Amino acid sequence: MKRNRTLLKTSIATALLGAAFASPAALAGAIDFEDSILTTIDGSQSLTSRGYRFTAEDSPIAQYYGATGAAGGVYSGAQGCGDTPCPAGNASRFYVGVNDGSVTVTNTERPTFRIAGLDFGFLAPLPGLEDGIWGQLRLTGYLAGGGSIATALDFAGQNADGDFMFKNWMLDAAFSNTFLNSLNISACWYDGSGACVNSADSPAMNYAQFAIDNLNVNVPEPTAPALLMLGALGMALTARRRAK
Amino acid sequence: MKLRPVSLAVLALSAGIAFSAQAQEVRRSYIVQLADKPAATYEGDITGLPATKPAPGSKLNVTAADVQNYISYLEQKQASVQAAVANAEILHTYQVAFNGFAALLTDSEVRELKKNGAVAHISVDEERQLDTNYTPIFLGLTQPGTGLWDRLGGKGAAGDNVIIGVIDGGIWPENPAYADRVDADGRPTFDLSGTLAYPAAPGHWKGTCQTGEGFTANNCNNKLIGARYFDTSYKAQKKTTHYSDFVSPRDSMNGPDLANKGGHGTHTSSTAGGNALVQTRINGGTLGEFSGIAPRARIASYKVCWTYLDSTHPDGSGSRNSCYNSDSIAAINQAVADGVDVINFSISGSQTDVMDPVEMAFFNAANAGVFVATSAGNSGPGNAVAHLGPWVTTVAASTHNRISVNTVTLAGGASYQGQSYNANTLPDTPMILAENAGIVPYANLSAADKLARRLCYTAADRANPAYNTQGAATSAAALDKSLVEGKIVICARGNTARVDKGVAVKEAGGAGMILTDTASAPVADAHVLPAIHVTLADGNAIRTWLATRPEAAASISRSQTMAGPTPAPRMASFSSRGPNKGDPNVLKPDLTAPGVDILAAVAAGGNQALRDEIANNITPGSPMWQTMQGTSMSSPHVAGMGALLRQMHPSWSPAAIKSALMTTAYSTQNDNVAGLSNGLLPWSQGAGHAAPNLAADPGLVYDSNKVDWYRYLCGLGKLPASNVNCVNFGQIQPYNLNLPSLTASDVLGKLTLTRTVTNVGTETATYTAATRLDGFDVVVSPASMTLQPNEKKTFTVTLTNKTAAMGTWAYGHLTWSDGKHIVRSPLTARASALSVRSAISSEAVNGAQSITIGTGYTGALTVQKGGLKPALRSTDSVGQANKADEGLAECVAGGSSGVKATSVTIPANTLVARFTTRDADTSGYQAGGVDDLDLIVLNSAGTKVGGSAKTTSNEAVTLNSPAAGTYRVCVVGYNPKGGNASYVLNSWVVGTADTGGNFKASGPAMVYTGGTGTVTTSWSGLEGGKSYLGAIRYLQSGTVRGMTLVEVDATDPVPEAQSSKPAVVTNS
Repeated sequence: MKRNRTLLKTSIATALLGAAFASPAALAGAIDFEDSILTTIDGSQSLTSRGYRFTAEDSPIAQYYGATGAAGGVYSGAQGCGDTPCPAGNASRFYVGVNDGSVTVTNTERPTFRIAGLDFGFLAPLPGLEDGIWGQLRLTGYLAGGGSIATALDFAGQNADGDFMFKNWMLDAAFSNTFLNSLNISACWYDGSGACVNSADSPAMNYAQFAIDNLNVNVPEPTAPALLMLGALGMALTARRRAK
Repeated sequence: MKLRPVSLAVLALSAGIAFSAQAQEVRRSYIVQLADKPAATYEGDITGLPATKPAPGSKLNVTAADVQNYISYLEQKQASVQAAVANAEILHTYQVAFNGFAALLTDSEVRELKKNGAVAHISVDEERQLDTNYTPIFLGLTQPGTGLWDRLGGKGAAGDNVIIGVIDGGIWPENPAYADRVDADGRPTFDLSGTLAYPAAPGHWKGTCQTGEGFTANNCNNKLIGARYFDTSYKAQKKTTHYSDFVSPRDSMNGPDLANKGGHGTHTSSTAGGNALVQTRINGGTLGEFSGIAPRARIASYKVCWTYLDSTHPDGSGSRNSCYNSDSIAAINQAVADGVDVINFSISGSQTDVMDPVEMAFFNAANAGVFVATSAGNSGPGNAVAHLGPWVTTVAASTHNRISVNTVTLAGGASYQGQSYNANTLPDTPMILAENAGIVPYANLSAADKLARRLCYTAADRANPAYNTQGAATSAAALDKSLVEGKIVICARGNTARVDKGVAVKEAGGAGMILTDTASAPVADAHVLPAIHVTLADGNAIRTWLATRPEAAASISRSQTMAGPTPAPRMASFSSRGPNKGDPNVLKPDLTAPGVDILAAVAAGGNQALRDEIANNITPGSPMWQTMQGTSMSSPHVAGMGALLRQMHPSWSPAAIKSALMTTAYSTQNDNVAGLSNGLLPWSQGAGHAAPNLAADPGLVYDSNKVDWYRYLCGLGKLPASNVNCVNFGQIQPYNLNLPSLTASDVLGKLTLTRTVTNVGTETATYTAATRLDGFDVVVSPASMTLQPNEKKTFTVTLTNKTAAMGTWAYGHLTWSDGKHIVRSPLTARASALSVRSAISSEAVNGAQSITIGTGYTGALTVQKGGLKPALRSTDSVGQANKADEGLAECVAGGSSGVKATSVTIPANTLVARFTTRDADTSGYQAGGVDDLDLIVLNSAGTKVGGSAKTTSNEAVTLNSPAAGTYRVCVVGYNPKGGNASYVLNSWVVGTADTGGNFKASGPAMVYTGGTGTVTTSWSGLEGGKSYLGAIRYLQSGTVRGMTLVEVDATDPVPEAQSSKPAVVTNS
């Protein structure tokens, strides 16, 4: 899925307001990683796609011990994921989180954003695992005014070909309407007792791995009167420049 | 469902090495496997085309309408694929046991086919080599009452109505081992006055008797029920066929010229299923009775090996006998279609690829119910076992204890016992020392001539550089008729074939030979004249006696066979050893059988005139017998046993027959070979030496079929997860394939293996497990099982590392017993700190992917990396090297016209050094032929640390974590086309300081005992048309635990030949 912010709108926004201001127009879009090269990152390293920064973090137990290692990257479904089979149904590029690591998402231009949904799947450590629900994707949003909001959803199982699948997650209104400073995405692993674990006390043994794509994000839209005022201001500025 | 991945399994990762190639318009032979199943395996997945796979216990009927319809469908699909490469010359098309075709293709056509979705796999059509009685007694088959022959109704019934297909060098049909009549004494005869002893071929036989040079329809009968030959791919190689061969199913002639290399196919087929009660005749005398292992079986011969002129053969004969894979596949397909029950394949095979095209043809043969025995190879005692498919039974070679003893008696003196197959007594005859048996006095001879005289060289031996390392021998060394005629000549063992020495004596008019050993290991041979082989000590005593009695005479007795004093069986040193280089979690070889000093039928010898008379049906071939050794000889023993078990248990699958032979096998004697090649280890003898009488009633079997084998190939990563068979059948870890051997190459703390057994006994029985494996806690669950007849039960074997050292193999057994049967399996395991794949390969200039590692400890993992570096390519040319040592001395000396030496500095902290040459870069290959160049790498001390000697110029030497120093890389002109070849030497020296292509590699911050972790790696911005190398090294607390090479070949490479040079089993 490609983003739908048009070139025209972007150029208007830039012309009127410059990079320091948020764009005032329809700002919903999907982060699809097609603008990223295929790459890999460790804990504390980051990559960007579609104006958002993805900063990888090591697993909770690694952070506890101060260790760092492979935590994320951008892979291609068409090229394949190597030993960790790509979740099925996505030949394009997507972000992977590995070794129980998480990723924190921020907008590179604006202080807050909202997320309405995303596609996600289980990045199995090996081919040939039994079909089943191996864990969950966990989203934790950090609110502009402090506090956080969290939600989690089981990974999809396998398709008829024996591959774990991507699935689409439409977030509920409580989550999707909340403006976030940052969003942390991680996975947990069902440890057999019913608990989904990934913490310093209950490590997920490097089994909590995920793939995410098409993050449906948007930034605050100014109200209609404010937009008009900004537009008028812009025209006035333009007129003054011409007059010079 | 919420699952807990309790044991997330060890990795079974295989390394693939790919190299680049330049565009050529030269055509070369390839085997193209298509995605659709062949008829032997097809189960009716396509609407309108019913299943053609035969029901268990029945044979594929190729004449059935459904089978014909499906074959038509495959032919259409093949035609559409072939249409994409319309100019290609198609050599073979296959539909029955293997779906695909063999064709002469250009590089661009190969690249076109690589992209075609209907194509499953493309491989080079490799050239293979033949791996070169009374063993029924040694095997216990003849025991009255309890022996398997008696239990099948006697030797006149053992193997009845079972068809053994022998894919080999053809057959010499005049041997009575293949007669279908018996004389008044019940002995096999071709005489039409004899009584017909065999009825018409069994009803499931659909084969034919193909005629040709020296082979008419009359050469087949109710014993030798079929014969065919396959030479399409051989002919495409445009070799010059040696005169000793016949364009027909007839075996090539066998001697006396060393270049006459036939006899092998006759030896293997007569060993597996030759008639009983056959009088062996050597040099006009009889030498006891011979029998094949399944004497009543019917034989079908499929000739795929051909003798052609080849000046490079290390034996100096100027000829070679080779078998091309695509001809072998055609023969396997035909044998399955013809309805054989058993196949013997005593031909070398891939040492690295479970899915080699020949192995895949056997996959389908086994799936059609055909038991396949193959030879492990003669490259021992090194780790070089071939035929890795778990659906075939791979046979090592060991000794037997039957010796053929005779006596030399000095007239008026002592007697000495020695060995020989001597059919005729030689009365008192004057003796002469070889040293004194020439015109030129021994003292006046050059060193080379002295050797040639003392060792009794023939004229051909004197001209053969392989036997004359001190310089060429001359005719001055010859034995002279005036001195030798009518005498016994005393020759010394060494260099040349033992039987050649007898030829030299006979050619000089000698009456007999005493062959004196270099130690105390005489060997029985069928010599061309009365002879005896005595120990060094006895030989010295005879020489001493003769020294003071120039007129002394001696007599040589006829041989008798008896049980010898040397403990047997003992592994033959030439028998190729494991571990399995294609998958260390599957044990190969599977078992061992007699393969040393095996007497059986062979092709007759002769010259071109005799050959032409036979070819034109003017003179019939005469029967001949000879001893041979090799895994080629052990494999047909097991094929024969398979035929006996098939007769006794018609419903048993090939895997059940293999299981019965393995779980009842017994250990060989210690051969005292050091290290991993020791004969007591499963790498040498597999499950042990076959005991066919016990195998007839094994109690339990470990059965497997196509579903298990597909799951295995999927779990091994040889078939992608998206393959329809992986989708349909799922996958298993390779160590969980239901084999009668249990092998775990990486126990990361703890590992559970799963097996299922079937009670093939006639009674309900309760079996109890017993097991031991040093360093491991072994738990079998359940520890006791009660099974009704035909009932299957599954158990697990959990290994927990207590004190086992990391990286060291431990050896034990798992034994189930019900008080009546002992069902024994080798249990072999290695504790590991880390399980990593040795390499990943890509053809992409920007890539990112995971490497999954298995970990055997909890803690931190450190990762080092270097690269990606493009190859340093240096162009040069090289002439002809000394073949005898494959150029090593010239390399050590700093190079020569035939060995180009290059100095390479390896700095400290080097992760990997790799040196390669490729066919595509050599002048001979570019001209449409082949150069055979090799590589040798020496370290600073001048010690060889790496070598690569394949049959073409696709050579690679890789040194992981080499010590710093100045190394020497030598390109050896083993056989450059026309005596000189230009080439490109590719070099990579990759250290921790090297960076390139934005190469990144990181490991998990934490790892866990028995767990996995993801190593991520990525690169970008590489330049197309180059080949890059990088390395990732893993350390636990500063100790290196493994390395993964990252190979990025951005040249769109085509498949390349990878055959190793064949090992030669010497009889000198």
